[in-house]
Amino acid sequence: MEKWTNERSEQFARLLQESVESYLENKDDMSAFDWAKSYLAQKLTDKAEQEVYKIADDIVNAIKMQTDSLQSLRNAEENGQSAEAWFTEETAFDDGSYGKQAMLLSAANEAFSEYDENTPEVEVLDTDFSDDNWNKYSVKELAAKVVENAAESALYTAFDVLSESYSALGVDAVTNADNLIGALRSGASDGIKTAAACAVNIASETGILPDPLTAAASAFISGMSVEKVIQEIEIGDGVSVITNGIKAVQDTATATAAASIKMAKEQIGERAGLIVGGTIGSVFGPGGTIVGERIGAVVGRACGTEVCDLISAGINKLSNIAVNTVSKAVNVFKNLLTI
Amino acid sequence: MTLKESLARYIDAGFPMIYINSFEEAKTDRIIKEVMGRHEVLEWNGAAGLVDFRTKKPLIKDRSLVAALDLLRKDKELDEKKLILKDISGYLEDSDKQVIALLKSMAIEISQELDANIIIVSSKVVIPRELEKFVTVLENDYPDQNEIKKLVQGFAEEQGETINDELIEAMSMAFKGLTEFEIIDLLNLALANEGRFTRGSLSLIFDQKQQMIKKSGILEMIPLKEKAEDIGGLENLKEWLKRKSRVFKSINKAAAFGVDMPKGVLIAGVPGCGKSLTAKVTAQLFEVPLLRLDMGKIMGKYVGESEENMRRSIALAETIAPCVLWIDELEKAFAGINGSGSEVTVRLFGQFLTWMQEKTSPTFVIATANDITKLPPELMRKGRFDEIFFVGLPNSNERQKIFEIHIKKRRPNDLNNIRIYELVNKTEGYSGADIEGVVRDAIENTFSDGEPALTTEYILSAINETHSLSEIMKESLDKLSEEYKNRKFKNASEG
Repeated sequence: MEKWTNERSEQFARLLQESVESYLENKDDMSAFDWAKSYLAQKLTDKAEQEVYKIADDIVNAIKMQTDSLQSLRNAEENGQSAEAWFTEETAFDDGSYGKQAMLLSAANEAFSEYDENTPEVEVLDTDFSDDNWNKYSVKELAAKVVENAAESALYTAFDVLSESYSALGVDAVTNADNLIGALRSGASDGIKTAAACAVNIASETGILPDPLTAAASAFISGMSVEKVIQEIEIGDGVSVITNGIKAVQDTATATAAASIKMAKEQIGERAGLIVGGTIGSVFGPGGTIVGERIGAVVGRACGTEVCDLISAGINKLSNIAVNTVSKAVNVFKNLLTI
Repeated sequence: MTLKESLARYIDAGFPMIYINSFEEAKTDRIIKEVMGRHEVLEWNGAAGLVDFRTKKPLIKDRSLVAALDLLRKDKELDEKKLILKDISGYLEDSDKQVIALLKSMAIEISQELDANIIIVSSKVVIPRELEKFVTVLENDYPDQNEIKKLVQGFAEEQGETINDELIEAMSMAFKGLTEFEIIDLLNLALANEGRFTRGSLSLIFDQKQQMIKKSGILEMIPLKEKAEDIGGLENLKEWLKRKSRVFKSINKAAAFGVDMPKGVLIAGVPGCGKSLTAKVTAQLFEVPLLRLDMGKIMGKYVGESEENMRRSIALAETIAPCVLWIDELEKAFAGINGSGSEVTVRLFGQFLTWMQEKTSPTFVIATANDITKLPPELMRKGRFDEIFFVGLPNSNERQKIFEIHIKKRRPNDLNNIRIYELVNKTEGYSGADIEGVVRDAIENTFSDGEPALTTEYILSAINETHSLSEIMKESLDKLSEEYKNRKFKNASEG
C-alpha cells in the first residue's frame, strides 16, 4: 500500500473543500445527482459522458442505500428488534436461500478479519454454501458477527484524533459555512455526503489516493464520515450524550455493512462475495479509515471555528471513552502516514 | 400420572421451565417427541451445541451454551418453540452467573408473553435459587412390571430366544426399579454370559442392584451374620419380628389374604442394649437384604440436593425391595426438628414422613433412637410405624443369656465352668454392650496373664473395673424409662 504524503494530503483536502463549496453554491438550483454529474464531468475530463453518469449514479444510489439502511436500523431498534435480527432480515435473499446469504455474510466477516487481529479468522469459511448447510440460526449467528465487527471497527476510527494534523493543510471555513452547518444539523446531509464522495472519487481517479476506491466505497466512506461529524457536533453541543453518540456511529457502520451486502446481492455466485469483500475491505480497512478521517477533518473545519470547537469538544469526550481503541488505531495506522 | 401426561399438562399450562430428572435420555427424547407434536423443538447438548431436536443436526457454529442462549433470548426467537437443554447441570452446579442470568431472563419473558417452554433434562437435580420459582421438577417413570415383561419378551424374540413364563415373572419382579437402559444392558449381559436365559440370570440383576447401592454413596448393604439367637433377651420384640417375617416371606400370598404390607418398627431405648443388633437379625429373619441409610450423607450443598438425595435413597431402597432399611440414631438425623431445625431438615423430615405413611413397597424400615424425647411427635403417630418398642436395660434372665452368648462366641469350651448366676447378680444395671465389654476384657486379661482358661474370677474382676451405663447415665436413663412408660411403648423384653 502506498503511503500518504504531504502533497497527497494537501491535494485531497483542497479537492474536498472545493467539492463541498461547489455543492453548497448549487444545491438550491439542482438535485444532488445533477450537480454530481456536472461536477464530475468538469473534473474528470478524460471520462466519457456515460462513465461520468454511471459514477454519479453509483454514488447517489449508494448514499441513498446507506441512509435508508440507517433509518431502517433505527426504526427497528426503536421497535425492540436487535441489530443482529435487523441485519439478518436486511441481507436475506427474496428466494429465502440461506446458503447465498451465508456466503455474503462470510465474505463480509473475512474482510473484517483481514484488518483486525482481534477478529477470529472465520474457519475458512465454510466453502459449502448450499442451503442444506445453513439455516436461519446459523445465518443469524454470522450476521451477529458482522454487526459486532462493524460496530467495533467504528470505534477504531479514533474519532478523528488524527485531524489535529490538518491545521498544516490550511483548510478553512467554506464560504457557505452556515448552509453546511444547517445541512449537518438538520439531518439533510445526503448532499454533503455526495459532494464528499465525488471528491473522493476524483482523488481516486486522478491517483491522489494511495489506493483507488470504487464509487460505492467512496460514497459509503463519505457517508460514515459525515455522520460521525454530525455526532461530534451534537455531543460537543450537549445535544446528545456520549453513549448515544457512540451508538449512532456504530449503527452507521452496521447500516453501511448491510448496504455493502445488499448492493452485491444482484451479482451471481462468487462474484457477489468478492464485491462484498472488496467493498467492506475498502470502506472499513485502513485505507478507507484514513480517507474517512480526512473527510471528517475537512468537513469539520469547513464549518468554521465555532463549530470546529464543538467538534473538538465532541471528539475529546468520545476519545476519552474509546481511549484504548484509539491508541490501537493510531498504532495500526501510523505506519501508513507521513503526517 | 405418567411423565408423558405430566409433561403435556405443564407445557400446555405454559410453565416456563420443566426439569426432567432422568438417566434415560433416549426414553425422555421419545416422550418429548410424542408430546411436542408439530412444534419446532430446539436442543442444546454439550457435544454438538444447538441442534434441531428431531434430526440432531447442528444449527450454529458456536457450540457454547452461552452463545445458544444469547441467540435465542433476543427478538422473541423462542416464541412458539420448545428448547431442550441437556448436559447443563455442571453450569448450574458451578453457579455460572451468565448462564443463570440468561435462563432467568428467558423464563421471565416466557412467563410474560412468549408461547414457549424450556425443558431441562438431567440425571441430577440442581436448581439455583434464582431459578427456583420458574422450575417444576418431573421424574422419569421406571417401567412397571407389565412394561418390563413386554421389554423382556420383546428382547427375547429379537434374539430368537425363549423364556418360560415363570422366569419372565421372576425377572420382571427382579428388574423393578431399573431403567429401561439398565434392563436391556443386563439382558445382553445375561445372554452373553450363558448363551440363554436361566434363573442364574437373576443373580446378575442382584449384582447390578448392589452396584447401584455402592454408587449411591448414601446407602450401604450390610452383610448378614447375626441370628436371632445372638440377641440375649428382647423376647417380645423377637416374637413380634418372627410374626412379621412370616408375612414378609410370603408377601404376595399375604396381600391376597388381605394383610397390609408391614411398614416398619421404631426401636427406642437405652444405648448398647441390642437395637442395632436387632436390625441385622431382622433382615436375616426376613431373608432379605439389609440396607443402612446414613442420614449424614443425605445432606447436600446445593439447593434441592438434600431432597434429591433422600428421594434417590428411597427409590433405590424400593428397587432392592423386598429389603430391610435400617436408619440408625434417627434423632440425630432430624435434630432440632421441633424448634430451630433448618429449612432443609424440616423438608427432609416431611419427605420421610410422607413416604412412611404412603409406601406400599416391601421395604421394612427399622429405625433406632437413643433419645426419643428429641424426636418429633408426628413421627410416632399411628400409620408411620407398625409398632414402637422400648428397649431397656436387660433384666437378670436377659443378662444371663447375654453372658452365655458372648462367652460361647469366644470361649465355648470354658462356658460350663463359669458361674453365670454370680455374674448376673453383680451386673444389675448393665447394658448388653457393658456385658460384652466385660467378657472381652476378661478374656484379654486371661490371655495376657498366660492363663489357660477363662474363669468366673477374671470376669468378676473385669466387672469391678467397669462403670456400667446406669452408673454413668443414671439420671437420663431414669428419665427416659419414665418417658417410655408414660408413652406406653411396648417393652421389647418379657415381663
